[in-house]
Amino acid sequence: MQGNGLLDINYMMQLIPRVAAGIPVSLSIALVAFVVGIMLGFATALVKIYKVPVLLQIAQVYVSFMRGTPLLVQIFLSYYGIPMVLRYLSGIYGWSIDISSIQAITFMYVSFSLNVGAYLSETIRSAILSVGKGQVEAAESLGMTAPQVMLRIVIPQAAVVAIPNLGNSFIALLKDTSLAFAASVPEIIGQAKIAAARSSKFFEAYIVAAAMYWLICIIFEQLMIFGEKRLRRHERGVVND
Amino acid sequence: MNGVLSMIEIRGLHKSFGRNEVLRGVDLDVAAGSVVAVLGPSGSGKSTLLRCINLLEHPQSGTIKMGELQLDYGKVRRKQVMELRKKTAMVFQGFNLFAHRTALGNVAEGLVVVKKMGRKEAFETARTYLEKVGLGDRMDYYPSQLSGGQQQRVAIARALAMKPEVILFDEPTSALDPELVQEVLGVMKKIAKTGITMVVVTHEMSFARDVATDVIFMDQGTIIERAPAETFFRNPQKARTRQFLQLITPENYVI
Repeated sequence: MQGNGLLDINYMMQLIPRVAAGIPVSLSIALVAFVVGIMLGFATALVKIYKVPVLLQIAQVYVSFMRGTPLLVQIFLSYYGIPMVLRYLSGIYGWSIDISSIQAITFMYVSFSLNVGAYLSETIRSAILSVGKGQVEAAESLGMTAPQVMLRIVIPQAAVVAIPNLGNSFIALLKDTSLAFAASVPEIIGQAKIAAARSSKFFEAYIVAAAMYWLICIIFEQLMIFGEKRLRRHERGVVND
Repeated sequence: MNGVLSMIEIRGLHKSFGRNEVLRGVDLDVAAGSVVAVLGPSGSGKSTLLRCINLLEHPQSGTIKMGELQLDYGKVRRKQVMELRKKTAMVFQGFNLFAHRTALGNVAEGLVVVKKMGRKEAFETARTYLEKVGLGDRMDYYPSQLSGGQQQRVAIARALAMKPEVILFDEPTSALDPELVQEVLGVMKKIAKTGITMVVVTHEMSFARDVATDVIFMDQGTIIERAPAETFFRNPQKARTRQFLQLITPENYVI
């Protein structure tokens, strides 16, 4: 079949639209997990900075677990575990949810969000701490409340510090979504695998998948560079003497 | 206080950091419109005392009265903290300007957020205060583009714009290059003449002598001596005070 070359280029061209059908799935996992992860990470960072009793211990266990176990295991835990827990709880409280109707991608949202949240909590914590204590005190001495200080003084400066790291985390997350195929979610790798299983042309299929990840990552990298420039330009606002 | 209207009355202020007792029962009266210079060696607790006035530090015990507001340091409620901070403003040793705001933005910030002033009015007000401290030509500069002396003058404008009853200065010239000290002291002298109450922790003896109405000398967490500025320098009563003044006053330098 392969005949005249190492790769069956025609077959690869045919594969592009099929594998590309996984892109929206991969992107939606990455985007949902990133947004929820930032919120979780911010909340966790605050708990750590203010050393909130009880919550601090919970946060420490959470981050330690998420960093200390493989993402693949976390995916399996939520994929198999959440339905079981829901079934158990609805048995006790008499809820009427149809657990089998929950789509597999929902569990991906949960596990990826929790995982990203744990990693981002450290990025966000260090970004918040990079804003000098003196500025916080100055804002407090003016009579600002703690949320006002956070929103007006700390977050705008911490965001600029955090952006390069957030960008790296997003790229890593985007590639990690390839693990979702293990829970039979039809993302990019899932689609490539299904196609290759029929044709046995695994090499071609994975090259197409790799090219798609690469392309998406390049696009996001460019977007991030553009975004960061904009933010910094605003911050410097250079005035010539 | 001899019938003079009192602005601040602190009684029995105790503050410890862990086992280290920094303030050991301080009583402090500040008359309305007076300029009180707080002197003392480093580690004497003078900055901590100042930071207890606007509750950037939370003392273990004692009371403070400022106008109608009276509170017990041992059981402060959040609302009282806010009220106290709205009556005061602070100028810090390290300037502590908001790095992401221009000079104008720094002064307007408190007006918009705390005083709920409209943006336009806030920026107009900010402009007049920056002009007062001689920075009319630096409104749109970011802190990183300003010299230390200019930054501290922005910080003073930021404090003044809030129209506080008391301004607290925490070693406002200690972080400045010697040639920049005078521009900040000059602004402070001007403010002192407007009749606003000032409490100034400082190492600038000339400022204490020329501008302050009263001088307080602190050592090891207590107030050792308090006197009208002129009396304080001419005729210090306590041996510890005399020792300190001898070490620090330029006239007594021996080469």
